[in-house]
Formats: sequence, structure tokens, C-alpha cells
Amino acid sequence: MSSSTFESLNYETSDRQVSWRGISLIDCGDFDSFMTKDVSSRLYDTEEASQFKTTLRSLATTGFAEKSLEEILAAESLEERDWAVGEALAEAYLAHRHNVTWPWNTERDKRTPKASLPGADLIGFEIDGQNVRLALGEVKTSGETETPPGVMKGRSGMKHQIDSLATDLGVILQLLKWLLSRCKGNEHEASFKVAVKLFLESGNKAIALFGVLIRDTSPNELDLKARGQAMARTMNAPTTCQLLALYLPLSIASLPEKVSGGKPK
Amino acid sequence: MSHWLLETLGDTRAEALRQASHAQVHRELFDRAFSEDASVVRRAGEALEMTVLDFLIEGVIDDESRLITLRSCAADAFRLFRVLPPKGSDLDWSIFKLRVSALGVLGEMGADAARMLRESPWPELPLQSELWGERTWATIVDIWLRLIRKQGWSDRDKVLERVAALRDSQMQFEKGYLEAQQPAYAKTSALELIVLYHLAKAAEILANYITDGVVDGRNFQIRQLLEAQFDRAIAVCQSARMVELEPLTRLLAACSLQMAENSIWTVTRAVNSRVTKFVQSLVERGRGDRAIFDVLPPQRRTLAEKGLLGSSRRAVVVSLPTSSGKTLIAQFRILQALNQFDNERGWVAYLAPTRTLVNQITRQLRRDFTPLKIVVEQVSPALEVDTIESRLLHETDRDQVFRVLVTTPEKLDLMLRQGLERESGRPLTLVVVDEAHNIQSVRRGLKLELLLATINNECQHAQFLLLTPFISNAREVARWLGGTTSSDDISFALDWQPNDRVIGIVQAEKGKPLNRRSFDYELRLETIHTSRNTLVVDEMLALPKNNDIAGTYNQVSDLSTLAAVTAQRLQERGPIIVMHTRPEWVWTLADKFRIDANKQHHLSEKLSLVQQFLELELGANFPLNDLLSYGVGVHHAGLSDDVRALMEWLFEESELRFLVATTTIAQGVNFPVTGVVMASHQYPYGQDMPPEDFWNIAGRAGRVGQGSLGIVALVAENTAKANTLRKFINRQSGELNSALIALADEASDLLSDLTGIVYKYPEWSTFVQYLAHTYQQMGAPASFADEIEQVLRGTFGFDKLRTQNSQLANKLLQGIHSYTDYLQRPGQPLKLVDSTGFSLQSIRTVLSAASAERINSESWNSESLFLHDNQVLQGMMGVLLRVPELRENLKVATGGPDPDGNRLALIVKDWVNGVSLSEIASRYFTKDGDDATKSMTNCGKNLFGKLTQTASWGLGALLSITGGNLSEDEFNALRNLPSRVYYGVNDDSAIALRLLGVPRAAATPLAIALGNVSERSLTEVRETLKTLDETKWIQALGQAEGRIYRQVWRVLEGLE
Repeated sequence: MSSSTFESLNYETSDRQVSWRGISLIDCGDFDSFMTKDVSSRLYDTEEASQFKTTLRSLATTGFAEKSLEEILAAESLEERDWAVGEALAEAYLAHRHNVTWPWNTERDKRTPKASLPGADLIGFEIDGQNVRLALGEVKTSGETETPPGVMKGRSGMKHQIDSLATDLGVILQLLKWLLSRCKGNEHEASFKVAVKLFLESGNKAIALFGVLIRDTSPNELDLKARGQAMARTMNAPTTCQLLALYLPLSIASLPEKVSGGKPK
Repeated sequence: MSHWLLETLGDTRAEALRQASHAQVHRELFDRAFSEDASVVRRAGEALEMTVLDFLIEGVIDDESRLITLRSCAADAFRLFRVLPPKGSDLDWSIFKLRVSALGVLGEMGADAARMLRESPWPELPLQSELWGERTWATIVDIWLRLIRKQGWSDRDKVLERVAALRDSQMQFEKGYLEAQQPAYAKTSALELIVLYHLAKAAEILANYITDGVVDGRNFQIRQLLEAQFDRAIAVCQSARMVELEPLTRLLAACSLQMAENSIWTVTRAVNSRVTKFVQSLVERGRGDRAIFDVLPPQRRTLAEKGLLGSSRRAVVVSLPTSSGKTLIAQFRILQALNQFDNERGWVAYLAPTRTLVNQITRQLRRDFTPLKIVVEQVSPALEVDTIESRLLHETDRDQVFRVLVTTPEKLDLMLRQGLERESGRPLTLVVVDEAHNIQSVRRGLKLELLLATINNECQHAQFLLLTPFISNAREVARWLGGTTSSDDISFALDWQPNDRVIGIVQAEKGKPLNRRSFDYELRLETIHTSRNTLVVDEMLALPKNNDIAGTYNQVSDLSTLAAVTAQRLQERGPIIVMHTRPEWVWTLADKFRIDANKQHHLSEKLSLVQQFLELELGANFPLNDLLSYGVGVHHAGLSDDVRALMEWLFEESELRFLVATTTIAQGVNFPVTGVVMASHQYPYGQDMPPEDFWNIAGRAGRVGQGSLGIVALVAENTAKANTLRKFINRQSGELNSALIALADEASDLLSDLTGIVYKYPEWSTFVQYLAHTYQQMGAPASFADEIEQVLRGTFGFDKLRTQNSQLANKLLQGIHSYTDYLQRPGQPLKLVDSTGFSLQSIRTVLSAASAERINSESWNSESLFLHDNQVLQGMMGVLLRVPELRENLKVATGGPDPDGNRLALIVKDWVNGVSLSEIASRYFTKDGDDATKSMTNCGKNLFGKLTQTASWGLGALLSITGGNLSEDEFNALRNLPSRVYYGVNDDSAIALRLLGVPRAAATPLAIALGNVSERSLTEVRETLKTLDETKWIQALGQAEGRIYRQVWRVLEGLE
């Protein structure tokens, strides 16, 4: 892991296959640049706007009406929700510090809301020399003051979601089938093959799980500790899980503004 | 080819398939829920699906080895996924089923996928949901499942209906659905809807195409139309994270193109208008479940990819496994051949080896071709042509002439040699040979082979289509018939099969003691590995005992009882054919099913119709009558054609639980069964059933449209037998050989002098007749011996003999030279060879014997020949008993050590004069201690199987040989005498009705009531019969008889 100038480690603990770590991000020039370049580029998609016209034109051949769809697709949609920025921040951070690559670029890859659809917030490859593992993760953004925050608990909480990524084979295999077409014929194809081979050969265990919690409170190991310990009891090698808490130097509500370089939306 | 994912998967694939087979066998046989390792099955399935997707993304169209790998991965994924138990919500489960079915289609298992969806349909989906997203998903999943299932027209209609309904309600629900979502989700949801709309449109396009062969009345480019929708859908998928929809869309894209390729419209496009009309009729057939939308993969390969329809190849050998739809392939070829020679009113000969098959094929062709105004006729296998058939063959009315003639090879041979093609003035354009592997049958093969050789030489326009189960030298056979350049074979490897099958051996296992002397038992089914990809499980499968059939281990120790207990258990899944070697054993076996559990207390109309018919024909005590009320039918050579046809009908109509038959049914079965139980694997005279016949019957087990799993169980009374059966099951059908090889080998002592060969080896008659016929055709040249040598070198048999045993071939050539000298002797009655079907030697024998008996032109009198006090027939029959070609079949009626023809003449007279079967049985076929059933069976076997056919042939030949001084009119007046013997009636009009399928007892009274039908065309009389109402039948036959015979005739004619 390379070091960077806009972070400092608050706590770090490992327990069997699980580790948890608290990092404070420091408000400085490098951080500004990280937010406005790395994070921002994962959030906005300039191509999208021009594509929707083609999409609608061919819809005409189906005999279905275009009107409502056009309204939705034509709407300006600079991302302004803090949690979405949180996800982009998590992706950019993992790419920056954990050698994770993402086979696609932008926010438009948001999954659909259909409840039954399997998914993970983050899908990528953790590259360690020749070794490539499938990287899956969940991101939670919380401005709550309570420790640990509510987003860590319950059925939609981080622990539960990561547990199901570790154990629900169907979800991962479905993700892989989808990922396949994203990696075909581009620089990610080799990573895909290595990661899938490793995954299958390891009896579906060789995956790197990440749980990223974005906070605007003071660092506190209790944010992660209990979940980390609980997961350590059930997670089997070679699956690994890293829980990261990123403590922001600004409020979560002001994230969208920060990512756009301070320009008000 | 391999794929990195398959390498990674390694042995897991085989292990998962093993688990899936296990699950399937246990579910089908024991109704047991899935209890295998789901995770290994799922994991392997997903990896295979991923491999399929990888190939699809790359594109495999032009790479055969990739395509084969893709298909095998898709098929295995289908095999794995289909056994998994339901999981998730109704919609999730249905989406899963859709993926599975699409993989099935891609793996050439579309018929299995459709069957799976019919047998276990997907759950009710929220098609009316207020949530537009859910409603759209539900609709798309539902319509694509329907497109794959294709249950008649209703599925297709529902697809169109649902797409229209979705469009209609879009305005009402879509806006609200999108606006209720957060903006970023809304955009993704909008994109998802767009993908789904494209899928809806694609479904609509495909639904229209499969029934109409065209989209919007003008667009035939189905591929481009579908691709346009799917390309857009996939492009849109890429602008959002549609984890489930994107891979599904890719699968559906490939699946829809495959379905379009499988469409009967695609396969037959742009051949000719007659073919188009035929396809239309198949698609529209009843608008019910019998409509045909798709062709099976072997049919697609044959018709489209191998270009059978577009080709000008003279000879084609289609070598496909049983149940892969060879008849449909033949139908298309027939239409093409008819079209080619439409102006000349060219005709097609369809050859089938048995009477039963001739009847079945005629019914099917007539049903399918009548709407196209193509006249299909059959002629009887009797080896003579009576005036009724003669008129049929020489019909001149352009609309009434037959275009397809169904018959046996022997009959066609006789008709052609008697100048059928020349006299009809119409060219024979195609010869279809069904079950062409019979060419190697020792008894009949050479006839077929030489017939084809003769046609090849003498019928200028004739083309050939040979249909066989899989043989390894199809090309060689095609080359032989077609010459070296314009011939081809179309073979389809063994890896395609219409459904899954288990082949197993059943043995009884001793259980706990029941008392001091007897033991309990259970049956054990051991599944056997075969070369045909049948399912196998590692452990023995237990079949429970049946106390009603056998209470103890001792009682189950014989083959019949073992077979009965096995069949009793297996019939719980559907109708079973149970086979044993000989008719007597068939009766005993059938009787074992007469237990309370099988007793049907309310007989269906169909069953009681057949019972009433049997009562009229064979008496109320005939055991089949009672067996029917237990759902048991019987089928063997001791029963008349009519009774056998009725048994087949009842079985096909699912009225029978068991059809107990002799093993010979394996050659003639053309209908599906759920299972086959074999008490024996041998034919009546102790020879093993050939592999082609075994696989023919095994291939019927659980075929397309029937239960998913076909079971073939062979029973063994001990370990030694089980070992024999294991070997039997795994014999390979190899190269098609010529019967000439075996014949030459057997007769090697006489080969160098063919003059007297028929006396010792009557099978050689065919060969020497061929020599005589060819000699005449060539104009009796002095150099015949050299010329025929050249001709023979080009035949299949001689060519094979030369390469396999040159010494024998040389001997045979010597024999041919000496026979040529014999032919060239002055005054040889060569013409009679073609008109009688006898060898020259036999004709000479007849001539001298007839002269000794004083049989000449004067002896023939149609009024008196069959009268009881007339002795002429006795003399005639005495002559026939000396003819080598007839001797064997007449043996049973020779009557004592010094044959005089008396007994045979008596039997023939009774038969012609309408004496009932039971009376004939008791007069001539009852030995001491025989019960009525035994003598009836013995009588039927001989009368139907041998005497009537052989005696009528002999009588016809005798007429030709001794009637030389008759005028043409006189001769014609006598021409129907042999047919009277064949059909067992004593009236020309009754003969016409018999040819039209009217049962013997009804033919004469009905003929009287209808007036002189023998003067009218058969087509016309058939129409009259079809429309004749019940009162006319009743007037002719009486109240009960009229009604019953009318119904039975309609059944036999395929009208019911």
C-alpha cells in the first residue's frame, strides 16, 4: 500500500481473515485534487447525455411510447446525493490505496432498484502482482453521531450484506456473468480470467471483500470493531475482508459541493 | 475445442452431471424431491452458462468447433439447472426457468425445454401488477417462456395478446412508476424498461414468424429483424448495471435466432409452392397441440444445413437415430420430387418392410398430403396384381392418379418387372426406402438391393432416399446408388436424442424368509452405460414387489413374471410395451396383468368398441376381450392385421396401460411409449435382435412429446443372463453390409453352378431372377456373361463380396457364366420369371408338375374353383408345394409325409368362403390338448403370416404359367382369384373393399349393398365409404355389426 498525503491512520486491527482500520482524511490540496479529479470522474458521465437520443430513436421500432422515458432520460442529472458521492469516494480510495481496479467508469452503472436483483455496491479486481482476486464491497455513508452508526446493523446493514456476498454463491456468479461482458476484449480481460479461475479453484472462496464506512465524526474503533470481530468468527480463508472507516474533514452533506470543486449546485 | 473456464471447472462438470442424472432418475422413477448436492450442480451450471455467454459475446457462428462446444456447454447447463428445486420469488424462479430453457434451446434440446415447461409450468406471474416495472418484467418472462414452450397456437396467441396489453397500459402506469423513484434510479429504470420493450417486440416478431413464416405480411428476414431489436437492447444494457437483464438478454438473443433457425418456415424457405403449402398445413394442423412449428435438430441439419431440399443429388442416405423425424424429412423430399416432374405426373414409391408399417405410413402420408391434393395409395403386399390394383396403377385421370405409392419392396419389384412404369406412362421419380438397413437382412435384403439396382438401371428419372438408423458407411451406400459424383449421405452423429433414457437390467433379489419355504423379494434395476448417452446412476434402483403378480421370490423367478412385476411398477408413469419372444408366451405374460389393481370398471367407448369387434370376429371368449378390461393389449403375428392395428390405435390413444407383444414389434413400431420391458431380447427363432432393431424400440421410449425419461428394462433371471444382456445392449450397429455376403458364404458349395441352387437355397431365387430379368432387358445378348459381370461389379453386394472374399466372388462369377448358358438355351420361359417372381428352375418345375396334374388353361374357372366339391384347387396346391420359393411358408399346411395339397386346398377354400377364424382354427390348427387360444394363435400366425400370402402368390404364378392359352378377356376375368385367397373373400367388389381396409367379415355384405364397386375407382369408393352413414352399414350388416364395423373401419382408415 502506498502512502498518501491526505490521510492518517487512526486505528488498525486484524483478526484472522478480517481487518478493520480507521483513516482520517485531511483537508489539503491533495485531498481537493483527489475529490475533484479521482472521485469526480467516477461520478459524472459526459457521454451519457448524447446517447439517450439514439436509444429513444430505436425504441420507436418497438411500438412502445417514448414520452415519459424521454423526460426521465433527458433530465440533467449531476449527482448530488451524498451517498452516491460516498460510493464514488470509496471506489476512488480503494483504487488509490488498495490496488483495486474497476472495469467500468462511472456512476451510470448504478444497479436497478428491482429488489431481487443481486448486487454489490463495488465490483472490481484486487491486483497484487500476478495474483488477482475478485473485489466486492459495500459502502455506507452515515452522518449519525451514534457509534457504531445504524447503517452497520440490521438486514440492510453492512455486516449482513457482506456476509451474503461471502456466502451467496448465486449472487457472485450472477455478478461474474455480467462482469464478463464488461471485461471482454479490453484491458480487464486478463484480470477477469485470473480472478475467476482463482475463485472457482478455491471452491468459491478467493474473494476480497471490502466494507467502507464514510463518516463525518471523530474516529472511533467501535464503529467497526464489533462487526469485524463477528465476521472474523465466520469468514473462511482464503476469503478476506477489510473494513475501512473514512473520517471526512467535512460534513457529509457538503460532499457533493466538494466533489464539484466548491461550486454550488 | 476447450475453453479456459472448462479447464478450470475440471472434473466438477462430470460430477455435477452425475448428480443431476441421479436426481432426474430418482425424481422420474420414485417421485423423489431433489436431495443431491445443489451447490455443485449450481456452480457447474453457472460456469457452463458463463462459457456459453463468453462464446456468444465473441461470436461463434462460423466456427464449427466453437459451435459444438457452445452447444455441449449449453446442453449440460440445461441438464444441470433443470433438476434444481425452486428458489426465490415467483418471478425469480421464472427468470431462472427462462434462462434454463434458453440454454436448452441453444444446446439443441429445445424439445426437452418445451417439455419441461409443459410438465412443470412456471408460477403465476404478476402480469397485472400496479408496479409497472414488475408488470413489465413479468410479461416479458411469461411471453418468452411461452415462445419456448410453444404449446399449440394458444401460447403463440398469448404472446401477441400480452405484448399488445403491455403497450396499451404503458401510458397508464409508466410515468407514475418512473416519477416515484429517486432521479438516478429513475434513469436506470427507464433504461431497463427500454430493454424490456425491445424484448417484447422481439417476442412479437418471433411469434408471428413461427406461425406465418413472415412478419407483417412482407418481411421474411427474420434474422435481421430479431438482431435489430437485440442489438439495441444489448447496447442499452451497457449504459447501466443490469446484472440480471444483460446476460439474460444475450441468452435470449441467441436463443431467438436458434428458434428462428429451427422454424419449419426457415428450413423450407424458397423450395416450391407445394412445400410452402405443406408447411402451412403442418403449422395450422388443428390449431391444437399437434401443430408443428419447429423441426428437430437432425431435421434442420438434413433439410437446411445439408441442403437436402435444394440438392440435385440422385441418391441420399439419411442415417439418423430413431425418433429424429425421418418421415417428415421424407415428406419434404417427396414434395420436391413431385414438383420436379409435375407435368409428367411423376410418382414416388415409398417402401416399408412390413404390412403394419405400410399401413401406418399410408395413413400418415394420406392425412398430410390430401389437403395438397396429392393422391396417396397403397397396394397390398400380395405378390400379384389384381384388376382392382391394376386399375389403380393405370388410372389416367390427372386428378385421380396416385402420386405416392406405399408398398413393400417385394411388391414394387414385381410391379416394375411387370412393366408398371412403362405402362403407366409416368416416370418413377423417387424411391423412398424406409428402414433401409434391411438391405442386409439375409431373407429379404438381397431382393431390396437388387430392386434398387434394377431401378437404378431402368428408371431414368428415379432418385433415391434411403432412411436408416445410424450406420457408419452411409456414404458408401449413397455412392453405390448415385454414382460417384452426384450422391451424398446425410448422417447425424449419435449424440442427438429426443429425450433422456435409462437402459437397465432388472433382477430379483431374495429378501427375508416369509415362512419356512418361501422368501420375500424386491427387484433391482441396474442402469447400464451405453454408447448412446443414456442416464446412469451408481447404485441399484429398487422396484417394489407386487404381491398380486408374485408373492414370493420363487414365484418371480421366471422371465414372464419378472417382466410383469417390472412393468406393473413402471406403468405408473405411463403406457408400457412388454415384449416376449413367442405369441404363446405373450399370452401368458399378458395374463399376469389380470389383477384387481388393473381392472377398469368403466370401459371407455374406444375400448368397448374394440371389445365388441373382437367378439364379432373371434368370439366372446377370446382372451384378449377380457384383457382389454384390464387395460392390457396384445400384439403378435397370431392376430389379424385389423386387430393389431386396433391395438396400436388403443395404445396411441392412451387407452392401454400395457401392450404385450412379441419382440418382432421392434421392427414395426412407429409410436411412442413411456417404457419398454423386455422379457426377452431374441426373435422367435432364437436369434438376437439386431442392434438396429433394439435401438429402434429403445428409441421409442419416452420420445418427443412424451414423458421426459424413457425407460427400457431387460429382465434377467440370473447373473449369467444379466451378463449376456449387458453385452447385448452394448453391441454396436456397424457398417451396412450386403446380404449377398452371408448368402454366398452359406451356399459356397453350389456357387459355381447356379442352375440348381434354388432347390437347396431358395433365397438365391432373387439373384437368379435378377440375372434372367437383366438378360431379357439387355435383349438377350450373346455376350451377356461378360456384360452382367460389368453390371455386377457396380452393385453394392458384389463389390463388397469382391473386397471381402475374392475367392467366393470368383466362384460366383463362374456360376453366373454357367447360368448364362442355361438362360441361353432355346425355349426358356424367360418372360414368366418377371410375371411370377419365380426362378426359371421353379417355373420349369411347375410346368412339369402341372402337366402331370393336368392343370392347363381349361382348369381355371372362377365360379367353381373354390367350391367344396371341386378337386382342381387340390391339384394346384399340390403343385405349389413343390416350388422352392413357396415350400417353407406352406410347410404347415402340407398335411403329412406325402404332400398332396388337399389340406392346403381345404384351408384356402374355407378362408375364401368366409368361414370364421375360430372355425378354421378348430378344423386345421388344433392339436391334442390345445386350448382355443392356442389354436387360434397358431392359426392366425400361419394364415396371416404365411398361407394366404404365399398361396395367393403361388396361385397367381400358376395362372400365369398355365394360362398361356387363355384370351386376354378370359385371363382378366381370372386375375382376381389370387386376391380372393389373399383377402379371404369370394367376390371382386369385396376385394376392392378389403383393399380399402374393410374387415373381412364386413366386406362381402357391404359390397353387395353398395353394388358393383369393383368397377369404380378406388378413390371414389373410398369417398363413398367415408360419407356412408350408419344406416347403410346397418342395412348391409345388421344393427350391431353395422355400427361396429363402420366405426372400426373409420379407425383403421385414420378418420377417428
